[in-house]
Amino acid sequence: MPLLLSDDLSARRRSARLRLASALAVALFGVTICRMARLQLIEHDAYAAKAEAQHTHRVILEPQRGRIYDRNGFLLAGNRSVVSIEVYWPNVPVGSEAQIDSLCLRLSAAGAEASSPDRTGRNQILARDMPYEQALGIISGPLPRGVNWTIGARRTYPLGDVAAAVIGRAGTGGTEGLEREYDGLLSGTAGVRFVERSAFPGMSVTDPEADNIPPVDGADLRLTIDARFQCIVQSELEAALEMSGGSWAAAVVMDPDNGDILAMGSCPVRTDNGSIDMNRCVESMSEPGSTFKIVTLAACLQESLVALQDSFDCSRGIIEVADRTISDCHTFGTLSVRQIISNSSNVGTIRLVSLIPDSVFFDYCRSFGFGAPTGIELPGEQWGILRPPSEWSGMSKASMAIGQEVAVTPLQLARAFCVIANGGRLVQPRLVEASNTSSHWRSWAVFPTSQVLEASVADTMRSVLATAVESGTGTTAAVAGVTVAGKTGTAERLGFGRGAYLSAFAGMIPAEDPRLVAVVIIDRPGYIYRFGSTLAAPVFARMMSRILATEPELAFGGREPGSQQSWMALR
Amino acid sequence: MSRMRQALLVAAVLLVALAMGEVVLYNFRLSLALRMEDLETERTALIREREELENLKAALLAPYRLEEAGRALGLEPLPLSQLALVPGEVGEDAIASLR
Repeated sequence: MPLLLSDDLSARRRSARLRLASALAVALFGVTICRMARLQLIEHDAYAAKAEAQHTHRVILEPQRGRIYDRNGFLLAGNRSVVSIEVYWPNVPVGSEAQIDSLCLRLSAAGAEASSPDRTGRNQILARDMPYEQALGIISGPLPRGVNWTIGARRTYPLGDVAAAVIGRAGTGGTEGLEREYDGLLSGTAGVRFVERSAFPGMSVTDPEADNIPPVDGADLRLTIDARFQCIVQSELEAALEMSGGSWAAAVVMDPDNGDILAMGSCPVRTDNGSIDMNRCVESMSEPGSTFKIVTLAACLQESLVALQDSFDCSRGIIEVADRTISDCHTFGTLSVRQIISNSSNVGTIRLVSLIPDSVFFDYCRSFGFGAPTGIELPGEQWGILRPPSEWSGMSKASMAIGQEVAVTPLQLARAFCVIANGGRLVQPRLVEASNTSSHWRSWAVFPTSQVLEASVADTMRSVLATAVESGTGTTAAVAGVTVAGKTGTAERLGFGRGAYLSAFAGMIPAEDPRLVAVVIIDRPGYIYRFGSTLAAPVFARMMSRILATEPELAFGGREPGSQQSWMALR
Repeated sequence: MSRMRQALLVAAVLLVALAMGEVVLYNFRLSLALRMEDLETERTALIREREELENLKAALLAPYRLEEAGRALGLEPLPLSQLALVPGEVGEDAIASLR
């Protein structure tokens, strides 16, 4: 056996150590590679997200709520930027409270309702919803440590409560009216922005590689409402309600051609607790009284059951129906059909309705839009009450003919009078004329109409209603310079005790070619104001006078399409 | 060996150039982002100003305010009996059509 030399031994040992070290290095390298593969390939998404979250933060971008305009572009609901300033007391150095006191004084001087500093809590709001313009002078300068500010948006209504029943209110206390109906359209869609964090204040910038989503502002709405008419209607209603001591009042002004609602007033506007009261034009229903007699007349004329010159004996002043007696307020004698309506004879109207079969009368009530929603874009619309003939008592048809045993909303009544005003078509009322998305206005479709009466029948009815204002019960609705057609209504308010009445007037101007239809209803006024002719009709006249003074061309009927006309003052 | 050194040199130069490019691009991106922030702030301020002006315009043009102001100036609306609708623009022809 050969002897091993010490050098050979040493070389072999070194070689073994090198191999061991190499194997260890390779193993370590392998582990590192595996670990890196795990981090970079298998767990990549989780770690990338974690890293992203550490160096960026997400900012929600609030969209701007859509504005609401009237038909002439007058702003009815807009937005206003407001600033809230708060202090986080743990970040305020001890001994520097005087700076917060000084800030509060500056806030008060700027017109904010600043609360006095109170270090007992952690967070304290020093000023809430301060107008941006007022706050700008304070937030643009250096603020004490621990003080932060945030910008928010608040809804503004330049007309105050004048159109509150229609527009409603948007806010933390709930949403009502059109603000509620079109909340999805008005509110828009929030966006997201990822901002890279920076150690230097003011150097945080948007991460361009992140999935930033810009906010989509809400659509603007242009209503059919005319702010000028709305102010007139609302002020006249408030005055009438105050004078008569009524429970509530409502009025609707419509364009009979297309169903556009030009004004919709409801009084009182607010409840005792300060919230917006219901819109009486669509949410309150009541007996229409004699204004409902148009349905009886329309059915008789359309079915050719009577002619205007036909006479009916109303000399007794009373009529017995199913063991009950219905009377006129005056004894008239023999009346023609025209006189029955113009003098609002209950006896005559019941004689007229007795000529119509039950189902036909019911069909006419339905075809005038009663007992069904109008489809107006407002929440909480009432359908009214219209019972089918199978549920009628012996009295029902006679009662319905004079506007009892039925309940209608002021809007339903206005829509029914539009049928007479526009040549026999039942229009669908609408409040929104157009919406604006992506900077261009898109007109909304006018809803299709159904023909209820022949145009000649509607013309005849207008002449009867004009007689009612000229020489009948509605003379107090006359407006100087224009012919008015309309019908008064005085209804007993059942369920409210004796002496509870509803005063109503529904009319149109000018009678020959109506451009406006208006309904005025005042519920439970003082006893001396209970008749439609003593309260609602004069209110109608005042409203129309003021509206025509604002827009005189409405008094001159429909204009030829494409023709240009102007109005001028005569010497 | 010299080829190896040349290759290493080229790689190093490329790396340095890439690093320089990265720095330039980063700064360019940062300046653009800051400019965008400034523009965004300016846009927000202009939107706020527009809102305020729109609210102010609506308050000034409120129909009831104009009516009150008109009445205070003695500008009562004319009665309808003193108005006439005439074809076309108001002018000599319109006046002649009234005769």
